[in-house]
Amino acid sequence: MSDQPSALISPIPLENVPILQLRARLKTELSDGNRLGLLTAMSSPNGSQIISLLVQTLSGGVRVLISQLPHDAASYASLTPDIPQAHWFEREINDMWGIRPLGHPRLKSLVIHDTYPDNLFPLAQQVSPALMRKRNNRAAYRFSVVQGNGVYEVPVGPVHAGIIEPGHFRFSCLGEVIENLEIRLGYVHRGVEERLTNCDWKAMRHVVEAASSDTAAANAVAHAQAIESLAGVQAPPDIQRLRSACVEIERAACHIGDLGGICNDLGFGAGSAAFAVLRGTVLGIAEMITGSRFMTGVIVPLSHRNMPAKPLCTAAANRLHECRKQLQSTIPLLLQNSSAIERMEGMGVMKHSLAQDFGLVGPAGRASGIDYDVRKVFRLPEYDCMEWQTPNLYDGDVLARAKVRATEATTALDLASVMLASVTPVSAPESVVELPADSAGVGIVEAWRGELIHLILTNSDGVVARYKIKDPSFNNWTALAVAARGNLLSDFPLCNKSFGLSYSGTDL
Amino acid sequence: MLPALLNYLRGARQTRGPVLPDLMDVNRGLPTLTSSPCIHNEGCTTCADGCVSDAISLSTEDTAMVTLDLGKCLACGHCTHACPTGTIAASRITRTAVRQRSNLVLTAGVTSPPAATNMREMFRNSLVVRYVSTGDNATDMEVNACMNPLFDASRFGIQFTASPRFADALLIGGPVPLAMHEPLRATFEAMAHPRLVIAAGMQAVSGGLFTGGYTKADGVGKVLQPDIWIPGNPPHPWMIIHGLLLAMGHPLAFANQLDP
Amino acid sequence: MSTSTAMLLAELAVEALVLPLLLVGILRTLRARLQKRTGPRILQPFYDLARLTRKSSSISLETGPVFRTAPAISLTAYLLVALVTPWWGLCAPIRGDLILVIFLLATARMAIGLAAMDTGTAFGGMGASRESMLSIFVEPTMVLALSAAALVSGNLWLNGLAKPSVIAGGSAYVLPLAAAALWLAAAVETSRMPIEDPVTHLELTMIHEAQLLEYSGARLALLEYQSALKLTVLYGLVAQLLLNELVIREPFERWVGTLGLILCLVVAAAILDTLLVRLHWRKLPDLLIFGLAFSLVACLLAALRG
Repeated sequence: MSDQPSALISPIPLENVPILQLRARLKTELSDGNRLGLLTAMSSPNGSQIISLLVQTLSGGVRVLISQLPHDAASYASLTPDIPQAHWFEREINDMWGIRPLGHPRLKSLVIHDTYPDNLFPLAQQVSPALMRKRNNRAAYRFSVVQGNGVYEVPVGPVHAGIIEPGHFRFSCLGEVIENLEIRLGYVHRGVEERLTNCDWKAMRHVVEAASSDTAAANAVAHAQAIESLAGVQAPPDIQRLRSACVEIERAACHIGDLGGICNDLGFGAGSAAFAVLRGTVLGIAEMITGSRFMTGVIVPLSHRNMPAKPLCTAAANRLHECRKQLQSTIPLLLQNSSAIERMEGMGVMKHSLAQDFGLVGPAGRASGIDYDVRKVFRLPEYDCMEWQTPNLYDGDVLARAKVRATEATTALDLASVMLASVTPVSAPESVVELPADSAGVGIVEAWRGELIHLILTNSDGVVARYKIKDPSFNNWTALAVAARGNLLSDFPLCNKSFGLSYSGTDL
Repeated sequence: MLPALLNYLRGARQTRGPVLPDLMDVNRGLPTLTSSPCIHNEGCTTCADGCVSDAISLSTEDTAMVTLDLGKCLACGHCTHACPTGTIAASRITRTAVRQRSNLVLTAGVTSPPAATNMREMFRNSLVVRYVSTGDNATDMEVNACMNPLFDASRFGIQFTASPRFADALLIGGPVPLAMHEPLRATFEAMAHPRLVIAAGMQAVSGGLFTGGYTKADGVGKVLQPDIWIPGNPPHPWMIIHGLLLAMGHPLAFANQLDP
Repeated sequence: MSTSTAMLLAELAVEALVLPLLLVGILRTLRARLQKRTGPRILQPFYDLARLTRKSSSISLETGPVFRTAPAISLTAYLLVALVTPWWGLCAPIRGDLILVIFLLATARMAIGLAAMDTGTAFGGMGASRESMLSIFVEPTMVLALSAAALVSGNLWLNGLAKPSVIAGGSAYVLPLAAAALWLAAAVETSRMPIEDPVTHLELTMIHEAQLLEYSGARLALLEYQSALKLTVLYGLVAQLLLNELVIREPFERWVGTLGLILCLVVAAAILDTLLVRLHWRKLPDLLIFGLAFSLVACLLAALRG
């Protein structure tokens, strides 16, 4: 099967599905081993369209379903009651397009806050300065209220105590126990998708890198894949190998950093120092082969800028191997530390059944028994370089997530080392690509947080009409809110860190 | 666990080497202007053509002149590679923070005027920093790295705090979109006088690629008045530490930096 | 006032002003070294305090007089504790019994707790509730540990702890047990690991610090100094119990011994801060009950012995 070309290279099949049948159709598709990759909307001359992207987890392919809404229709029947994964996607559609999913169980704003003017639907219209000056009468956001004797609310954020991104957490507590947690995001909504449809295609790669800048490499790879699949071309294998190596280095660096973060939240100073130093080493290797600690500005469609020379790749591969040894002697500080294990065990449990309903991705999903890894499903040839496994645990607690991330960090260092050792510099011109009209391009990457999808749709002039980024965090936030229930308030930081989600990737 | 712990305890101290060193040669660094003349009057626009963030502007008014705004620079390395005359070259210095926005705008042959304000004596040995992230999580990570054993800003008397009431300096990363305007202002208002504002990274300085949109993500300058500006995308931990040292008026910050 | 009393007071003033901040500086530097960092200078707490006293205050409009006066009240309480206990190895200038000490510590805690509630923030109330929950364990531990020491020395005056005439030798484990109990209570009072993490500053996990989040400027300086003083006085008292067990009577030897033991306790605190994992909130009673048990056993042993 690995001889087959990756499914993303061939043109992405588009299929029109009447909006009235969409709910039933998706329901059957999802029960046939497909995943709802993303759900979004798009403008067309005949009215809005609802776009659903399905990932075939068994055969490794992607399909895009397009459902045309009647002209001037501003609502459709919500999918969420049958398909829980659609919950946040539909809230986003409501915010960005003003298309109301009727019958949505909890329709609130997701990214567009009360501070924005009325009737601002950034992707459905050209936002004029006049509109931005309009008076704001938006109804204030209403949090779910937990009633009962002794229940009190603890509002946290948007500005947090630690050095992390802004978001608001509303805890309803009974004593120290969290009865309910509502997460309100949108504070770092910067208009990424609007910017992506209105900018030069050479600027796009920099915008996607900034979408969630701690995942710059994976976003750049997904962007490159999406453009390439749209244009029906493919980058040379050496370049693809180098890209994957970058994604693996990013994975290792971020997982190691978050393991240090878990130590820090446990108050375990020695562990957090040890992991921080290791993370620094990995970032140094990233700097060596790309010239930037976050590997920005090098991964581009069809090519690779400043391709590192062979000796540099070999040296980096050797250093990665060294680093792996150090990691192996550091991980026991956390994962064989009985008092740390006692703290993490049974905390922030995400049950397998719920994880499936929410469509969890990445390490958080794999810690709850969701055996879904984009690298395995799409069988990229460079990943055949060695035998490797993705960890799969069922406990779904903080400990399981820490274990999964530790294992993945080690595997990532191995993979990156082997891939880099076999990279031979090639010259590939960074030519301007012609984009076909009315087509779709998809990039799908296992970023360090999980499945990252870029979807590009062109209009009849071959211009990018819609650029949708689905960050892995988008699927996992609800899980964090649910996993926090029943835990102590003072355990929440640890629980949060074990998920390690991106705020800016979700808000865009 | 025990072998790992002993192994850790046996390890050497990780804070070593010079303070504020130049970046490694492999790093792209930030661009800078050299004395070799620009040939824009012969029609060369290579640098500006490839600059997606409009950080470079060219003029032929007098002689060929190139102006480079580090506050908008993505550090993508395009211009330093493309410049045929070497007028724009990579610079790997980490002493890049400045006290006036205009000092981030480099013009060949023009030295920026000295900064008017002097930093307060009282923060010389102790500075407590409140960090607010507004949409650039790579900068968050680099700010975190400032306190790790490799960079260890604590040795200069720098501490990060949870409460704005404890803080002397407000360090901001990210382009400050509309929904963060109010929280940012509130954080600043909660701080006791005297207080400083520091913009970390090109997104915080100018909004970067998000500027001019409906989310009004135009950088810190639209909401508060920064006292220190740190370029970089994201700024290297040394660049952030330089900005903090500059805020303290620390002698280490004042050797061969951009800011006269 | 005789010359010797004046000298004593002067010496006490210097020790009470300089030693606490120095110890905090040493603790922080040591902790940094254990994390493979260079860390702040030992004099950093002095610089921090100097900066805070020169800053203005930023006070929420929601707060009232309780919030404004609490730092002064609690600092006064701790200064009185420092005056009535022989924490620095020599007799204290003012006579006070152990009940007074417990009362003063409770006053300080109450002042800070009320001030935290006065701010009306969720974290203030949360911190105050957590702190008072812990005090259920800490206060009896202290009462019993100090009572055991009083039983050994034969009077309730804490000064007796440092009086050569009443120092008994061979206390049959009473004093070491009392010292251990007091040390554990001190760990709670001074927010040490594994009870509270003094480094990470996460708003949801804070106990003591959550009560102070709204303070700034000079009031914050008072609180910082107060927490350093608290650490020193409590460690000093632990040191007295151990020195009595070792029957050290010579004033100079006691003074040196006290400093040495306080320093040892600070080193231990730095090591524990780095290597321990913070306990689960529900597991804290399991640890604190040890302090209670130790002090109870010490008391019983002392009573049986007498």
